[in-house]
Amino acid sequence: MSAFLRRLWPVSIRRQLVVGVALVHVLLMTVFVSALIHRQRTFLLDRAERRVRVQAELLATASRPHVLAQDGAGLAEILAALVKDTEGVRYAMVTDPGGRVLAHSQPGKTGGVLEDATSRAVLDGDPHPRLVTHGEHGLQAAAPVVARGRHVGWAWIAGDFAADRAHLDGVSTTGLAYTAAAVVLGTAFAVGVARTILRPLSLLRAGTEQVSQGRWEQPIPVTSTNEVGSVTHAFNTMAQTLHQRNADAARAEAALSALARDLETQVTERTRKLTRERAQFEAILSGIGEGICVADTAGRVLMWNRAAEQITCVPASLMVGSIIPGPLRLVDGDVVVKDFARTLMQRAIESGEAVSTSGTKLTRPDGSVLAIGITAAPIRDHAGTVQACVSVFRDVTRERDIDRMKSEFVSAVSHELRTPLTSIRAYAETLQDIVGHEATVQEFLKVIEEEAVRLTRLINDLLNLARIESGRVRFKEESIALAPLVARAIQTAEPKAAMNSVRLAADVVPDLPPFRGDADGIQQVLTNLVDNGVKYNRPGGRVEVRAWLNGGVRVEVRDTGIGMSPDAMRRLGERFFRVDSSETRRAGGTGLGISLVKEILQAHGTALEVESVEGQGSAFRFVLPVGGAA
Amino acid sequence: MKRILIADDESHIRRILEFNLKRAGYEVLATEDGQAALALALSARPDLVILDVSMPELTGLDVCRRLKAEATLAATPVFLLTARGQESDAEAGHAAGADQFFTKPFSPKQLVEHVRQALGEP
Repeated sequence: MSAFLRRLWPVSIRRQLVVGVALVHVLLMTVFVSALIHRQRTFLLDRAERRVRVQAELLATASRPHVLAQDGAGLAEILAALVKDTEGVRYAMVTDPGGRVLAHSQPGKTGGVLEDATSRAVLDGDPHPRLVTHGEHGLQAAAPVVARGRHVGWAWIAGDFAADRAHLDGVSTTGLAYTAAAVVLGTAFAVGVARTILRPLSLLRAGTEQVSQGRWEQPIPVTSTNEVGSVTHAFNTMAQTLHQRNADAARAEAALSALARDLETQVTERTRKLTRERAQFEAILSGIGEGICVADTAGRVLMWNRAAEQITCVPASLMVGSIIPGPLRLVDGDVVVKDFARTLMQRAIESGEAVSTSGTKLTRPDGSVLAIGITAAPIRDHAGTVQACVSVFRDVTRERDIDRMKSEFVSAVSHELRTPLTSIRAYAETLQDIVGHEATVQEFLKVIEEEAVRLTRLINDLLNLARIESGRVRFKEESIALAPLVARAIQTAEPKAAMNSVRLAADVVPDLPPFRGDADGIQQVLTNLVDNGVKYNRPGGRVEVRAWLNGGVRVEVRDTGIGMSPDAMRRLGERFFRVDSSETRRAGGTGLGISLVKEILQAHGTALEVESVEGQGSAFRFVLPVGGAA
Repeated sequence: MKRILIADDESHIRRILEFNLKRAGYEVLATEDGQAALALALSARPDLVILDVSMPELTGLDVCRRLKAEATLAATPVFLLTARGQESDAEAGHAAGADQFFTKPFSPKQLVEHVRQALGEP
């Protein structure tokens, strides 16, 4: 039922408003007019009844003498006048107590008897005035005619309501007219209001559609200052905010997609670069002359490059994936490498540092034996954890052969040179004793002898250098006092110093702790440095050896000699390099002294520091580690 | 007169040593190989022996060892001459029982000095 009504109820606000207003007006006006008419009727009816009763009593009074006199004519006259002069009386009559009509305003009815039930009820009742019938159609009152205390008749009046009804009809008509007017005006107002509200609403709707289609630019015109206006305003604000947000979102989206594109480009670029680098890296690895083996921490081979294949004659297909030594036969020193735990790579992984060896022998599948030099270094990840190990190795068989040949050659040459030198020196020396005192002969023989001695020193230095370089000289690690070595170096240089008028001095701090090293090696260092200081000096010059404790035993050999230019200092220690001047040629060095000093100090884990000013002198310094008993 | 035996395959060195020692007043026996040196030492009973280390067939070290093994010659001073001058040679020389070790080239004058000292002369 309600659903049915709801279907009847119009959907649009305009119609709702119009129909609603019309219905309300109709309803209210109808109720109002009806109530008005009802009250009017009640009032009129009441007034008519009172009037009828009053007239009935007046008639009873007026008719009393005529009833006593039995004067029908007089009664008729009274009745006629009454009906004629009094408004609202339909008819009037006078009866006797038994209901016989004594006179009637309508003459034809005189003489009749009232038989109807209503009249009988009045006639049979008590003699006092009363309304016989109510209502606008049957308004009738009766009043007893009493004369001298005796009830002699009834006066009857029938009211006429026609005039009142006409009045009521007029009221109804007017009410209807007002109702109609109210409905029309109300509806018009409703239509107007609906338009006022709905026009901006439809604008709002159009605007909404516009916004929903993405046209944000135009705000909806605000045509009124009422609620709709503020709604429109609010909508505009909302649309603008949305537009702003939308624009922001669009911008953000654009930026994001640009970023994504950029990222993609970068990734592509990076991938291409990586691929290229990887290709290059692989080309380098496969093209490199050294064998390269990468293994994880368990010793499983991950990479085996082409050079590794060529050196070992074992293909990568066999090596990769196997645990070192895999199919290789390696002998490290005298130990056959059987498990990874023995290998250099394992040592590198455990120590975390690069480890080298040159004493490894490799037996190829065909039985030939190679000497290989291996350097293994750990590979760390970003966190510094060792992930793998890379070994670089090469065939050093030929190098070792050459090395051996070289030292054999040097040894043989020095031997072969010493024999004729021995003769030259011996004969020159002997001749000086036997040829007399001819000055020129003595001088020349002296030159021959000195040059022979120099050549001897050169050979000795060469031999020493070759031996140190080849690692065949094993420096000892003993606890040694420095002072005696300094004294001996000075003692050795004394004759030459005296000859060149150079003063020698030693300043070794007393109670200097012993240093750790090789006595013969450091002796040679000191001797060479002091000898150099004397050689590259001037008459009246000075060579001083100082030693004190400062982060080790610090030794300084300082001279007041000819000094060196910066260029000469740079080249110091090159084989056969000597500070080139007439003075140095006169000094007769071999050019190997400083090289030897450097090699020996390096073997002691220290370095030679040189400070020199050309024309003023040089200072050579080094630090020896302090150490207790070995 | 003290007698000194020299063994060196280099004739120039033999000659100059002989000259210097004779000049210093010694009787000198010279030979060029180890075998002859050994025979001469046993027969001639020198007061001092100077041996070159590197000689063909029997080296100076071998001769020294044999001489020191002879009861009658064990006390005779033996000088070794070497052209290598390496520590290993010096050690081998001492191991063989040599009393002095000279690296070539040496000074004949100094050698004569050492001979004098070894023979207990002023």
